[in-house]
Amino acid sequence: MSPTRRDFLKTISAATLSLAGGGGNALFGLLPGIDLYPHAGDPALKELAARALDAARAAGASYADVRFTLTRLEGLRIPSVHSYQHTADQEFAGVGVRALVDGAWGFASSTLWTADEVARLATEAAVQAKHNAAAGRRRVELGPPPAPANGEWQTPIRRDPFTVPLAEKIETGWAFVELASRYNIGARNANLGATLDTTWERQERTFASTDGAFTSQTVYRVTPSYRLSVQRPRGTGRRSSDLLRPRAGGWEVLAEAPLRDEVPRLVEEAFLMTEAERIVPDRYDVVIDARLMTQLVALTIGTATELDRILGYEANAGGTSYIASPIDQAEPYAFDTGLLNVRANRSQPDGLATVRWDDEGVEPEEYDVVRDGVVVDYHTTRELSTELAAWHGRHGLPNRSRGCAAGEDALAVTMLQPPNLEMLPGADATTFDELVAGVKKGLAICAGTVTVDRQQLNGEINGELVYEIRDGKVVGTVHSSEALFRAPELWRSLKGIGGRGSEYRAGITVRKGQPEQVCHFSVGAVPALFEKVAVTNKLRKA
Amino acid sequence: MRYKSWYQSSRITLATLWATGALACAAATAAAQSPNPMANRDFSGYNPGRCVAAARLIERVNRFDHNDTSAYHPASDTLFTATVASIRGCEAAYVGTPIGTDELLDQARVQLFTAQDEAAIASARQRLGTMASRTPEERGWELYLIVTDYLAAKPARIDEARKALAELDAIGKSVGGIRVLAHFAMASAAIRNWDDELMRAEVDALVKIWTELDAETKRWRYFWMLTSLTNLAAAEAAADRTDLALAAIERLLALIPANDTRALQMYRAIERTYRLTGQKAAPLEAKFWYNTGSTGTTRPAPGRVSLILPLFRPCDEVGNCRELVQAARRIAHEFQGQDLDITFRIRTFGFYADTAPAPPLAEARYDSTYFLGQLRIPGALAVEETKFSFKPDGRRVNEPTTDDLNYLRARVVLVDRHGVIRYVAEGWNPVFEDRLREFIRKLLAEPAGGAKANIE
Amino acid sequence: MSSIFSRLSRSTWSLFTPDRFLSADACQELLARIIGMSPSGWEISLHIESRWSGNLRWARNAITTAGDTTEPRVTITVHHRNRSANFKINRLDDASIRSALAHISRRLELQAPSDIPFALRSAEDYIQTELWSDATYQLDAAQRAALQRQLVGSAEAEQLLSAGYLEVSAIGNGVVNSAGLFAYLPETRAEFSVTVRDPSGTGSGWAGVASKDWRDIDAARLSAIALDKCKRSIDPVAIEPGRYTVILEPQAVSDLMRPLISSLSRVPAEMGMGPWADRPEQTAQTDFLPDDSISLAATVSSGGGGNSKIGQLVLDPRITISADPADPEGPFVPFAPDGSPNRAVKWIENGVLRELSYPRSYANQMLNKPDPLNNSGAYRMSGGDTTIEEMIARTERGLLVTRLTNVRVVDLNSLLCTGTTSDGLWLIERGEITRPVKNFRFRESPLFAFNSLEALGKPVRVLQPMPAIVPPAMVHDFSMTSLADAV
Repeated sequence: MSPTRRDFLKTISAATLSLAGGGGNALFGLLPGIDLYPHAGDPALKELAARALDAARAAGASYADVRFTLTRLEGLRIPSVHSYQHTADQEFAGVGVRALVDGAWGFASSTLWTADEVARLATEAAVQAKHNAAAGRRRVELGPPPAPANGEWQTPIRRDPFTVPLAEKIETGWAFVELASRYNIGARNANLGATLDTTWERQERTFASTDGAFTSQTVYRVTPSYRLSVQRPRGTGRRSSDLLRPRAGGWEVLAEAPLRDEVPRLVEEAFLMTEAERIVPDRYDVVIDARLMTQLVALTIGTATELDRILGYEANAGGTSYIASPIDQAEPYAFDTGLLNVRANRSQPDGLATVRWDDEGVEPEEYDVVRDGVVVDYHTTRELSTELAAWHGRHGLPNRSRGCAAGEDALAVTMLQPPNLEMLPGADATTFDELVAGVKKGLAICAGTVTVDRQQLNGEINGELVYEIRDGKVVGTVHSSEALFRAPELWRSLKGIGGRGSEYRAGITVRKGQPEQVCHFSVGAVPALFEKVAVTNKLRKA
Repeated sequence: MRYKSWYQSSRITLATLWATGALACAAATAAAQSPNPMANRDFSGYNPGRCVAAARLIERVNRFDHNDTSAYHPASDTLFTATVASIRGCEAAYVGTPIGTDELLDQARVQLFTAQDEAAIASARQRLGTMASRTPEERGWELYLIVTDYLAAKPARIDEARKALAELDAIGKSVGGIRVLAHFAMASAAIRNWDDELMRAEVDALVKIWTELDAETKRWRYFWMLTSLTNLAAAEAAADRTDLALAAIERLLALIPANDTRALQMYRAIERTYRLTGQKAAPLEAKFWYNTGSTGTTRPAPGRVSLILPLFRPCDEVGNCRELVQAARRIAHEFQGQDLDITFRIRTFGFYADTAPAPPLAEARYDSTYFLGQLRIPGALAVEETKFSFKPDGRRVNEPTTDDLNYLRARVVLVDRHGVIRYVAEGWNPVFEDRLREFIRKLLAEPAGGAKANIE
Repeated sequence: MSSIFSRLSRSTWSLFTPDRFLSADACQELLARIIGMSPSGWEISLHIESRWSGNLRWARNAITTAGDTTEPRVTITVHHRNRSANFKINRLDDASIRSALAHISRRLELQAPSDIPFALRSAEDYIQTELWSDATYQLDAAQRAALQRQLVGSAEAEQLLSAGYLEVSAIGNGVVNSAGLFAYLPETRAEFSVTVRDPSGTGSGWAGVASKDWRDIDAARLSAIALDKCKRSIDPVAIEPGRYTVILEPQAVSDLMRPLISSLSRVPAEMGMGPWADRPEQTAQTDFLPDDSISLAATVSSGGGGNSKIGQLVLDPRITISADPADPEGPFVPFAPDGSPNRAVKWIENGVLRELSYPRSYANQMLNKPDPLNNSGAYRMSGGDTTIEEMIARTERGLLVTRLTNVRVVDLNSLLCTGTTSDGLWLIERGEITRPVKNFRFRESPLFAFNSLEALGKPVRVLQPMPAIVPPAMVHDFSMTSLADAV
């Protein structure tokens, strides 16, 4: 606007961070000290970490760990070809210290990365732990320490979204949104529109523990969604992109998405939904597409096999699990279907829960969670793993943490968060269409949402695109359908799954803990056929 | 432009590198590692067609940051040339990047921007060529896009658009709904290009096609039919052919189904407004007058030509209020020293955001400072006081002012020396500025005194 | 008066230990620093939510984690030449602020200006309210841990498993801007909830509440209630779904009301969308153009031209839903992040819809008002004199519901919701609780339910993110659609 502003901008863009001047007072937020906030991998953080751990030990901790996080988040919504708006724009820092004294935890966190502050947090955490230990009802056992974790890691990306100019983000979005308005609908009477919503996150994490760990990791996550609507005289149909879904990655996730190839299909499917008939409540054989299966697997298996939930540690918050505790059960939990195999990992390159080391310095490995329909392992952290010592021993499994310790950021306490999951494809190369072809009377449900109750037991499936199947063929679409299920019965009714080539992986977000934390993880799944599922009209009352 | 210079510099750098082969070498090595050597760079994934998305943003920034004279030089730049220069830079950076067949129309749009008409026509032809095996209706939609792209170009490529439109028409009844849209675009372009014959022909064609549509498509395209006739009426009125304007409204009223009471009400009111032409103009009644000069507050003044215009608050960067004021300045300049009065009307609102209700005088003073002091409107300012009441749920309802009752929906009014209304319009359309100036010239040439008004 | 006093005493205290959240002076200094780093011509507004919280979590009768967090969250909003952009940070050093300002500046460059007039607020006409409690602020880790030991004693004695959460927090809420507005109010909040389950996993009871003052929370009593509910809910039987007379405890009423409270918005209603739209054909004013003293784009903010149901009876006449920042049982911050006041408002009075929230532009253009009507999410629902015991005695056949979880809206126009009952569901027959029953999935709308009202009890504070004071309610024909036998 004026030279003043241009000069200002020049100064900003060329700015090197400068240290604060001397002086300043001791009031909160104005402490002198490090003005230059280091990024992951900076030696300054190692010093700070050492300070924190020393202070914790001095205050009596037998174990302590400290995390530093710097989280940059930007959200952009593109509702039309002429507008855009930011839904989020922020950068948050945190440092958190956990201390274990006499078998009890204490935790303290703040946003100030100074030597005095980290020492204060460490001392505070230790003091808390002592108070908590006084009750003596439980003794946290961490088990043997993991191999010392040292090094750096970053989500493999091609381009950091936070280095992409805003203009390019907007233009890319507008190009995607215009795909809808110029889409060739022939002579049909319809108005097409699309909204693109994207959130980019970059979290730099530094972890150090009294076990000698020091790791620096940077995680990139992107949560895009592309929602297309077709407005016709008879009503509006909506469909969202299968390609653009939450995953770890950089700018290329959005920019290189072949959305152009997908839009025609989305448009035609949205057209079909405008012609939908109302669902007739009944029991149907249901084919669920891989995308919706990711949610079903996430919520009925992924979270249900979190050991803390099973043991009742989440009872007052996220709830419990219908899967019984392995500790007091003789028989493992079985889903009564040989088709279900689920593996956990934190290594899938595009997985939202993917890291090299977890927030206890453990290097997670892949492990089976469900094999041939039987629950064979659970998600654990170090202390939860020691609770399973006997059980692991009986089943020939290594008794160590499966590496699921995570906190949303350093301000939130480390807890058990779900890892990535993969529902393994079937042995044959069955496709979604082939599953449909095998159904005499049923529904095919594509995309949508799954919700479950506090025990992950009863739930509802609401499909975005629901086809009616008769004699192996799709004969139309239905609306207002809601499939009701009870997890064990649903999995028992699993009669077919997709094979190689039918996999789909997407990010899931759940909330647990008190105070509440957000958990991000990715689930890969294949389409599946379930028999005799109860499907109701979601608008119908008793 | 700040934006342009940044854009240009990065684009030109890449284009130069590309040309010198420096990038090509890097590309060759990189290609061995990854399929897209441009992947890590700014704007990777762009191709010449994608520059049309960039064009939108550049246009927008240029439009709203025109004040930034440190980057935009009024002597040599116009908003348009600055935009075009940026697009050229973008295109040049990506020449040679492969483009998909469904991006050919985007490429054509960019080529129209940069005045490569032959290339644009070829791109469009190429696209149609790829659709040979598609249904006629799908080819029709593509032709519609081509027609509207030609017409949206600056300047509009009317001849090429007409060719494409003829091809679309040839497909026939099955693409009636699409043809209505295309003829609408053509009629609007004709108005902008002062081609009255084309304008009338297009509206006739549109109405004929619309009346022959099936029921569902007729409803779907109803708004376009109504608006095409409304626009036709406005254009005829601006050229001093109010009889033809009224004929268009009559046509429209005959096409509205009897049960669409809302539309009937609205268009009958529009008709009544057009019928004000030929009647004696009622004196403007404002509560406060500013800058009335020697003419005084009796407006329209006898013996003088009067142009009455609306004003809005705010009147700067959005909407066409600023364009209205600029046009008024041009008009005032052209007719300086002649018997033309320009009067701007605005109503008080009665309330200012963030403060207590504003008394009318305070608002009027604000308006006079803003419009006369800052914007320097070239005419008198008439501030009418708005009286309002409240609905039970608290929403205010404005009462019509005396001028509302006298002038109905007319916001732009032209009155001749005898005090007879000769032109009315509901709003300011920048496209009609030149017609209006012709009209004013004509009215000023008419002798004063003697002739009586025709009261219909 | 007391808030000024506690502000003074805190700033003296801070000389000896760093304050756990930003004081009023610190907020002022922060604004001055940020203005100093910004180009002239920028109008700057800060929303400060500087938070300290301490918590304690236990499960299986033993403490699992405890935490203490301090975080100063600041949203910097800049207005310049009819454009605006904001950025959030939680570190207040020069580098972080400069970085935030740089992000904002880049965003302002590309933005199109808005045509809706805007001016930073400078008037500070906020309701006086007291949100502070020293007792909450001073409940330190040692006390919390000691408390927990007492609370789980009875559950342990009966071989039941108690899981719970206790949180105390203090927030320095501030809105300061370069037009001179200075609004600051410190607030405390205490939250307590406990779930008691039996080891066989068939019974579960819950109780919880929030308050600004820890002393209002009778943790022992709540633990006893949860324990009692757990014991009485062991081994539930399945009964048929259908329409039941239900007695909803206050927590359940607030769970069902939440979607209603967040739907109280004027503009969508006047556009014909949502539960508050009055849908008959609107009459258009066609002889005269709409008031064009405001530009066309601005009229979009003036609502859809249709009518809302304001003035109509929408709920049972015994129900009044109001919100007041100075409500003694549920006070809340009297200003919103943009500095506009949170006024005392009656949304629904004696069943009649009186107000719906609206943004500033709507207020200016349609109502001749300077400020938006904000919906903070806090509310008080009127009650009656019928106790829960009396309601039970009056029930021939019905259900007693502790709470509703996973409540989500299925149809916005009717506010039809679905979700599940949990943590205690009992069958009532001939005026008495006879046995615990398995949880249900329900499909019901608060609009229907509170038009089928039999009786209301005395309103009490419940546990929701924002203060809610809500009575127990007896409602007939509540739709329980299928069994959802989770515990």
